[in-house]
Amino acid sequence: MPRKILESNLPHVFINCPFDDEYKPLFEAIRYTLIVNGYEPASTRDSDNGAEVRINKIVRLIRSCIYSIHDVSRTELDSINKLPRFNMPLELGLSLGKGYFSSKKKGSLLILDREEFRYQKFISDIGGQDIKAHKNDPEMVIGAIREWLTSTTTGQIQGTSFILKQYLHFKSSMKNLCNKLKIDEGKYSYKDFNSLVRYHHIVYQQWLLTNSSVSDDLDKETGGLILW
Amino acid sequence: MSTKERAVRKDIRIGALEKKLGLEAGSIRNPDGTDARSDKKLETLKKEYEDAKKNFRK
Repeated sequence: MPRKILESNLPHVFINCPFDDEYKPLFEAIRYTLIVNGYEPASTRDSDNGAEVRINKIVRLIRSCIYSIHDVSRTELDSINKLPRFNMPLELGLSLGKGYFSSKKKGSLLILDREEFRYQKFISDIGGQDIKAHKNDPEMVIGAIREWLTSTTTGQIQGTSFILKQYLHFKSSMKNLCNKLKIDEGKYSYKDFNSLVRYHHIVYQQWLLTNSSVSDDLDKETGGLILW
Repeated sequence: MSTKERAVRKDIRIGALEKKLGLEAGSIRNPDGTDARSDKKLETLKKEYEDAKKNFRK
């Protein structure tokens, strides 16, 4: 029996993606979209337990999460070793394997790449899967995730333009948010970021509800950061 | 038009509020991000947000 690692009752989404600085804007946009729509992002960054073997941690997460997102865009050769990184395709394989071999309720997974059909040149066996292109653009990744989330629920998911509007407000409010939560703006961690999103979600939605009588001014006023 | 004339009743349902604000269904969420039921009252949700903000932990 796997050890319980997931704390909240929200549906968890395992995120399998690069953790480098170049990918950070996309990784943050993915987590933002999930959190504000009631999903809990899960990744190996959640736990800093150095004693645990990494592949065990990954398997435990894949087993525990009903949904997963896999970005296979990082295929460049390493500048030192001249080899590509195979971790993302490996973890995608584990998730696909779970779907084929597990008797548990089937979940859903989303595969992302930079460009449409590019994957056919390096991982053609996943042809037939629905793969979304993001062109390294956070706005496109938000749209792709939003579209996929609608297929995972009978409930409503926020529209892409509404998520984008909130996200832009969130990004422009980082300084205020970090001050409020006593987080160093330049050094926020993986967990700090998730907290910042959750806090912003509360404040933004609360503002929307409190100021619903003056909705005509919503764009103007949220742009001016009156929430703070 | 004055703000008072456009005031929203606190017992308005979320579905009706979204329409009034010109928002897509599902734009207004619960504090945990889940979809707020369209028949939920505005005042109930506002109270939940007040509690969520007060009890927020990093």
